[in-house]
Amino acid sequence: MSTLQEKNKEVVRRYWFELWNEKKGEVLDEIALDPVTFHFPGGQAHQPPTLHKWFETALIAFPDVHFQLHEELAEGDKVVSRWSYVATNTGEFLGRPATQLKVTDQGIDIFRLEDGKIVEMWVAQDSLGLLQQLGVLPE
Amino acid sequence: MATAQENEKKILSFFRDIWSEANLDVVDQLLDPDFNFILSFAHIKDRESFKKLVQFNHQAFEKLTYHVDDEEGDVVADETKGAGFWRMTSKHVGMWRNIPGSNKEVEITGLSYFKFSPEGLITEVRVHNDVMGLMQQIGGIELVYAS
Repeated sequence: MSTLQEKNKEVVRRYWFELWNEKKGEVLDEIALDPVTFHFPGGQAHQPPTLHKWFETALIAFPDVHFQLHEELAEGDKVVSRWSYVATNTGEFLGRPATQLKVTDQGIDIFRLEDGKIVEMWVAQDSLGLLQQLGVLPE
Repeated sequence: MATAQENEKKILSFFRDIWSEANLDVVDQLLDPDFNFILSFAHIKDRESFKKLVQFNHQAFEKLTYHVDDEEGDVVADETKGAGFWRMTSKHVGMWRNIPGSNKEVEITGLSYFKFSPEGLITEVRVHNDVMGLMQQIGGIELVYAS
């Protein structure tokens, strides 16, 4: 694998570990363009306009969110991550009060990078399962 | 071991020949006998069970088609693994997850993650599809969850 793909993988690892797990919001401007172009599934519960807003909202709703990176691959200008998270809903989410429930979700993201920054993301995760766990929809 | 380009072709064939055309001969050519197909709500554990799933979905969804709109951009692979971003279109005509056929035209997107054996066969596909979006389109949220 070429150095470019290794470097791109490092940027995406910073996204998962430094931004989301260590909650270092300041790395966002180092690792991503603002705004990133998102491709969300139509049924995704939460569709934030920017990564900054996404991070801000998540820290209110799920401040202890912790991601695990299960698999990754890089080719050309893309990096793919297969991930899961656990989090506790201790703040408002989608206009609903905190439930104090512990939830888990998993998904796959494709990142496109330009000049060492994330510029585009394709996202797929289990919104139905998340809403069931939060009690918004019954199991 | 297969090249990245060969694996990208197999991913495209998985969507187009197996899922869209329901060509089950291609299942035997592309998939390992112990193939695993893993969804957030189901785990199909071998090639023969997977064929039944393809057939079942074609009964529930007429004109079931998996589109890979950008061959270059929407499929990523290396020598042992890969991923594909897809868009599914169809008409929901039969029972699916306890929702009777709604005759609604549906469209959702998803991402699938592929693993390949040293011989180049697909051993595992993990799928994250927009079940929530599909349920909304076929009236499943109201029917199953709000009743």
